[in-house]
Amino acid sequence: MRVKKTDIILLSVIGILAVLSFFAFRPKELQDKGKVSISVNAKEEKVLDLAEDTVYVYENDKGYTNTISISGGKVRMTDANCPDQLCVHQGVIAKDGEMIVCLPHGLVVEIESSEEAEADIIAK
Amino acid sequence: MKTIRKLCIFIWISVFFLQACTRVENTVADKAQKTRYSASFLDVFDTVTQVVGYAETEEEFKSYSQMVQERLEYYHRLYDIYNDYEGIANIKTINDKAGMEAVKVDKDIIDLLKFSKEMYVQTDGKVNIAMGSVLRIWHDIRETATNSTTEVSLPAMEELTLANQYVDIEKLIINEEESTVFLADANMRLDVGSTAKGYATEQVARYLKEQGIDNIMLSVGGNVRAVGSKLDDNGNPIPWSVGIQNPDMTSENQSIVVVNIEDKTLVTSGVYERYFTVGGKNYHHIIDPDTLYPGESYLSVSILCEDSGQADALSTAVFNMDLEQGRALIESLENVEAMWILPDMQIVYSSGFEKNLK
Repeated sequence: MRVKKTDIILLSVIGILAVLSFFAFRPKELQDKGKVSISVNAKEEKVLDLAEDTVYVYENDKGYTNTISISGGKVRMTDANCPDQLCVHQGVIAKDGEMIVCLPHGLVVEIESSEEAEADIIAK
Repeated sequence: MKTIRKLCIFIWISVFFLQACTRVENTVADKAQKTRYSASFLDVFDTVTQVVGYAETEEEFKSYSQMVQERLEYYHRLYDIYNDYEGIANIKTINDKAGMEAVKVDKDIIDLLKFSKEMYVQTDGKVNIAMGSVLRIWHDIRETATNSTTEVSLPAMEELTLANQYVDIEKLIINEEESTVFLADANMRLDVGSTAKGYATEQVARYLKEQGIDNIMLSVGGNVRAVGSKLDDNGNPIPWSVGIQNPDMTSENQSIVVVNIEDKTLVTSGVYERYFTVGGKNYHHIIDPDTLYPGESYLSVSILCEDSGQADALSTAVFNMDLEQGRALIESLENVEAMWILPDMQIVYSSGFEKNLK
């Protein structure tokens, strides 16, 4: 039995279509790594890309400052001039729904990502 | 040759059929399925509140989270010991009138105070809302410490012992018929920090349930209460996953363990929440009524049960007990479990806790 050239073409076309359709129908959120949303007093201040290493400095007219660093898909509050410094000690966040809160400045850093956190919420 | 061609056609058809299937399934699922939403706000109980839940539309979820926020604000004003609000007699009002006169208050204050008295009895005095005079000393130092760059000094033992003379909960006089509260000791102050947040969370959760709202979870500053269950991708009920804060804040694992909960509450009292530092040592906010100093036996104590008010009070009480006493109390209570994290990070569970681990 001989395999015809057209059969090979047909098979390859099917193969390519299959691969393409897989990507085309993947949910959109799986295509990008995620967002880092920074809000102040419940108003969105800035949205950053979780995949992009960056340092963002928030500053307001009262002199409040918070420095948010993204590195390797992980976010931390590297500096803040708030009195309690709890946000700076809060460590690293990387997964969906995880947040760092600076209560004295009313600032919340929250991750929206397709990578689900192991917990829906943290008791503390 | 024919077989190959047939095979090709078969694969071709299968691929399209499969895609059609997924799409149809999605549309069906979208109709039946509720979507997960979350919200957070910072203006109640001096902490962050999170709401996670499932609803058919974003507007629907927003109405739920708004309901939560409004209810919590209401309780926050009533149970506030630091601020006055126009037209409201709250716990600060009761404190301001200590030794002078009875204050007419809302039934929701009477209920909290009665509940707190019950918890005093249940915990053998390890949760005492009449300890306000002692707790105020620690609170003021903590406030000064957080707002200044120079180091504060620790409270003098004489000052604490003196304040501790005015902590008799029997002098909290509740008159249910008149709906009044009177502190029969001019030096006594109420501090409901160990019960109010949990009690309010519980009342809000019950209110949501009464409104027919399900599949929603609240965290009021880490005081977690689930109403109903979580939903999986197909809309079937599954337990919520609640992490317990890793006391090692530098760790990349925010949760030290994860617990499955449905219609239950998980409350943790930990040393890392509110503290100040003197001489390189941290002094946290959970003050032992016997030593009048922050307890040092644990890094945290978590309580898993059905009532968030009870969980809040017990987490403080058990934190202030040695392991044997705490374990005995927990084992004597029905449907209440506890988890202790010792200073060396060792974890101790009550008898029925582990079966709830994820």
